[in-house]
This record gives sequence, C-alpha cells and structure tokens, in this order.
Amino acid sequence: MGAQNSTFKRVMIVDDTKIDRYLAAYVMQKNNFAVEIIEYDMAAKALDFFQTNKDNPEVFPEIIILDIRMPQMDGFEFLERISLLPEFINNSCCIVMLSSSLSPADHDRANNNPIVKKFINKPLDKDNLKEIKELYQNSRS
Amino acid sequence: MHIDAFLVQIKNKSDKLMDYFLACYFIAGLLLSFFYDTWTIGVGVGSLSLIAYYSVKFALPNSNLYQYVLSVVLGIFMAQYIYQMHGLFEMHFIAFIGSTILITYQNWKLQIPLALVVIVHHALFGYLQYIGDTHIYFTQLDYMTLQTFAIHGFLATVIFYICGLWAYHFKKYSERHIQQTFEMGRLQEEKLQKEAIARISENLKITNAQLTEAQRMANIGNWTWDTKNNQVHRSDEIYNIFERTREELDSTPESYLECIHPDEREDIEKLVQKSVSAHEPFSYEARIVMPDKNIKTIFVQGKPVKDEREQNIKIHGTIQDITGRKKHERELEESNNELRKSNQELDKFVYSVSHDLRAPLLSMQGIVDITGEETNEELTALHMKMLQGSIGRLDHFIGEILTYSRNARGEVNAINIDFKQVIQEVISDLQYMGSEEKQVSISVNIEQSGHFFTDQNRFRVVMNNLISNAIRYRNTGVAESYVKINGHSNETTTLIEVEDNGIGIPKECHQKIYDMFYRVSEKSDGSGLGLYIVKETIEKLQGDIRFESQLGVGTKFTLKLPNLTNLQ
Repeated sequence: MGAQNSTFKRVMIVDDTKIDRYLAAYVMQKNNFAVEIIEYDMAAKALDFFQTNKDNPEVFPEIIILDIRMPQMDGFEFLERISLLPEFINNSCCIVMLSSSLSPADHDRANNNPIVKKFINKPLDKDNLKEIKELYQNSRS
Repeated sequence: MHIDAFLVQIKNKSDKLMDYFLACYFIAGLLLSFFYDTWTIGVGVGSLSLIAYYSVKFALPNSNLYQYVLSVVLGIFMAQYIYQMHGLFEMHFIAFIGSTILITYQNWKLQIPLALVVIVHHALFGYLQYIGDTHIYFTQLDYMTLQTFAIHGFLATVIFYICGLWAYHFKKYSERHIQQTFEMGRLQEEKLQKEAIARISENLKITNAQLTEAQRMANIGNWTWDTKNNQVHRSDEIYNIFERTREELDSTPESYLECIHPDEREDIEKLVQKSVSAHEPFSYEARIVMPDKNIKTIFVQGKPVKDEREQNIKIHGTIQDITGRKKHERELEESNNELRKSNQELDKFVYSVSHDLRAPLLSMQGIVDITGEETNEELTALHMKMLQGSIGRLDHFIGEILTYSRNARGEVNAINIDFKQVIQEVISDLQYMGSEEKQVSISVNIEQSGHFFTDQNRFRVVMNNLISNAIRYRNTGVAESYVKINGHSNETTTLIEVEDNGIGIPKECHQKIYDMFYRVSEKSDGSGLGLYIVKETIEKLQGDIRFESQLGVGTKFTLKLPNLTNLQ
C-alpha cells in the first residue's frame, strides 16, 4: 500500500467497539484509502489529539470517521467540543458519522450539524469510501 | 244569608201553591153565584181581588207586599162568600182557611191584614145588617148577642194567633235547622281541611327527609343569603361538609369566608360582589380549612334573585364537596404523567435496545463481508474469533434484556434464603470468567442468624452482576485481584458488601452508573444494563444499594435488604 496510491494521507477512526475499528481500518487498507489510520476508542482521546496538535495542523486527519454511541463522551458531544477549537474551524476536516443507530433523532441531529458531511450506516464498505472521497473533493473544489 | 236563600225557596213554592188556591177561590166564588144569582159579585169582586194580587206581585217582584195583599184578598174572599151565601154562618170559616194557608209563608205578620179585614168586615157588616140594611148579608141569625159575638171574635183571634205562632215557629225552626246544617257543613269542611293539612305536612316532612338524604349522598348542601338582613340560611349538609356546628358556622356570610383558605378569600369575595351587582349567576371552586386543619375542596354555585315584594336581593346557591373528585383528578393527572414518561422511556428503550442488538450484528456482517475475499488463513481465524466475540456480546445483551424484563414484570416471590449458599452458586457459575489471565480470588463471609425471606432469583441476579463486574473490571496492574463478600443477616435486615481492588469508577461517572445503557468505560463490552438491573431489582426487594469507589483502588458496593416477611 504505497503512499502515492492512497487517497488520503491521514484518516481518524473514533469508535469504542474494537471490532468496528478493525473493520473500518481493514476496508480502508484494502482500498488504499489512507496512508495512516489513527484509531481512538474514546472521543475524549481524539479530542486530546487535536488539542495537543493545535499548533501543528498539518498532522490533522483529512477524514474523521465518528461513531455516535460511545461511553462517557458520545459522538455529538465530540462534535460540539471540537467545533469550539479555533484551530479546527480553519482546518477543513471532513467528518463522517458512522453508526448502527436507527433512531431518526440521531439521523436528524447528524444531518443538521454543519460540520458533519455525511451519515453512514455500519458496516463501512467500499462504496462508502468512494462516496467519502467524492464528498471531500467536492468540498475542496 | 243561608236562611234568606231558604226563605226564597219557600216563597217560590208557596207562590205556586197560591196560584192554585186563588184559582180555587175564584171558581168557588163562581159556584156560589148559583145559589142567590150573585154573578156580579162572584165575577167582579173575585176578578178585582186577583188583579190586585197579581198586579202588585208583578209590579214589585222584589217586595213582599203582594203577600200582604194576598192576606187582604183572602179576607175579601171570605167577605164575598158570606155575602154570596147571604150570611151563611159556615162561610165565616173561610177566614180560618185563609189563615192556615198563610202559614206556608212562615211569616206571622201576614196574619195581621187578614185579621184586620175580618174585624173591619164583621164590625161594619154586622152593624149595617142590624141597623136594617137589607142588602147587607152578614149572618143568618136574626140577632147576635154580645156574648156570641165575643166568643166568635175570641175564637177567630185564637185561630189567627195560633196560625201566626206556627208561622213564627216554623220560621224559627227552619232557621235553626239551616243554621245547624250549615254548622255541620262547616265542621265537616274544617275537619277535611285539617286532614289535608296533616297530609300535606306529612308529605312535606317526607320530602324534606328525602332532600336531606339526597344532599347527604351527593355531598351537596344548599343555602340562601338574604343580602338585606345579611343572613345566610344553610341546609344540614353544609354543616356536615364544613365539619362545624350551627354555632361555629353562624348565619353570617363572614363566618363562611373565614372557613375559606386565606389565599382564596379575597378573590372569592370580589367574584361574588361582581356577580351580585351585575345580577348574574356565579360559580367557583375553593379550598376550605377544617377545624382539624384538613383541607377540602368545594364547588359553589350561586344565583341572585330579586324579591320584588320585599325590595331585596336574595342569593340562592349550592355547595358541593368535590374533595374526592379533585383527588381522583389529581391522581389521574399523575398517572397520565407517569404514563407519558414511561412511554417516552419505552421509546428510548426501544431505540437503545434495537441499536445495541444491531451493533454486534452489523459488526458480524462486516466481518463476514471482508472474510469472503480474504485468502489469508491467519486473518480468517482472527475474524472467526471476532465473530465469536460479537455473538457472545449479542447473547449477553439479550440475556440482560430478559433479566430486566423478568424483574420488571414478575411477582416478588419471597422464600427462606441461605445467603451463603446462593452466593457460592453464583461464584461457581462465574468461575471460568477471566480465566485467561490471572485468577481473581473470591472470599465469602456471611453471618446469618435465623430465617430470612427474600426473592432468591432476584438476589442471585444482583450478586451475579456485582461479582461479575468485580471480576470483569479487575485491575491487571495489581499483584493479586480479589473480591471480598462480607455479610451480616439478622431477623429484620441483611447487609452485604461486595468489595474489590479493581480499576474503580471515575468520580465524574458516579452519578450515572445506575442509568440505563450507561457504560463507564470503552473497555467494557457490557450492555450498560447490569447496574441498572441491580438497582431496579433491589427496589423490587425494597432494599437499598450504595457504593464507594476510587479510581485505581477499588470499589465497594453495600446492599441492604429487608426481611420480606416482616413487611406483610
């Protein structure tokens, strides 16, 4: 999986379920989606990453795959917190929510959040990756 | 009044009789004309007499004068007959016939004109005859001694007197008779009236009793407020509702206001004043304070009514005790709220459960998808293990849901329990947990004296959750992980502590650990239901649970259970 062939430099996965993180990473690797995949099992840890690297925005991932239901800080709280970081606002991270939730309330909340680009149902597959890529390119152009 | 009506009756009847008598008199006069050929007298005098009688009778219908004329006419007929029969002595008797006929009018005075005519006739004709007038006929006797004349006169007087007396007596008797009849009628009527009044008052009494009873049953009393005299009349039920005597709640409107809750008094006063001045009906609900400080709710209605005769406004109204109804309304509202809340919870529950059931399934689907294209056997084996983990998670979750449901719906079945034995059973079921790494040493120390009743299955669920949590969240950094279960049970209460030296619970999570679907750690592959089920189950057992925990040091749960036999 050479760096030249990969779509993105860096992708972050935030999901408390180990098996789902593995799945997402596996699918991305198989499809040369990212050079580097950062995995976090807690939203708080992901948030820490951004705070720690606030002076170093080049290490920010281009794509964040975010789960909704997680212990302690859930996906929505993470969105709220991260949108308060000034460094993050200037950066154009593309956030995709990935969940197995069927709750219309969750869907509405995700779709109405301006920093969420897309709501994707688990499990993540090849087509989803293609879609994310297009979304990212559209937001850039 | 009544005697007059009676006399009018007698008069009418007698008048009819007189028509026949007078006809007979006239015809008798005609018949007598044959003897001495006295047609002129028979027809002339007879006709004149009848004319005199009937003309007076018809000319003065409202006067009794015609009766006196009749009396005179009867006297004149006597004189006519005596004359026609040339003084035949028996014709004098005609006077007596006239006298008796007149009795029918029951008026003794009617005898007087007849008697006068007889006296004048006898005196005049007797005198004329004896001085030798040949055309005058009074008697066939050649002469009459004074003695004969005296006897004649005396007898006539007696007859007139007796007839007058009878007339007088008949009238008196009739009067008395009528009076008595009338009196009897009056007494009869009085009696009937009295009976009717008694009946009405009896009915009234029954109606009143029924009204009181009805008010009692409906908890409604009625009142009338006389605004002019500022007096209120209240029915018995009002005193029942207010739990006050007639002395305590006197007849002034002020004493009523004093019973009303101070917060509402002013508003009610204003409302009533406004309604009375606008002459409109009003109604309101109010709280009233009982002498024992209890609160009741009443519903009051009133309607001002103008009393034209007394130039007064009276307000009629009712008071209904609606305390019970209010209570039911409140209860209904509360249970509605609870229902709404539990519906919302159910909604949330369904979404959470569907999510948590779906999540492992979707993971499994993902694994299956990627494994289809995977040729690396090592990876395939890893994926199989992952599938196994997901299946276990799913199975555990379904088991938890079932336990939750069983606890929420099932009856509490309290039996005599041996705590130590039950805890040992739970531990032996859990013995393969965490066997991959270091074993957790579990010690049980329970002091139980006497019988203790609680729901064994529910207790088992609680212990299973607490002990498995202690094992699952053991601290891998410590040399020896332990779980210490200490307990003490007497006849009323059982206290059990479950203490571990595990990872502990962060302070910021202490508030939420019993929440449904709340998971403290991303490390936990739990359902988020365990401690929720523990808390709910202990509530069912009417017990209590607390915990102390320090991150990295350990956690101690303390549960307190009541002996359920003592509560029944």
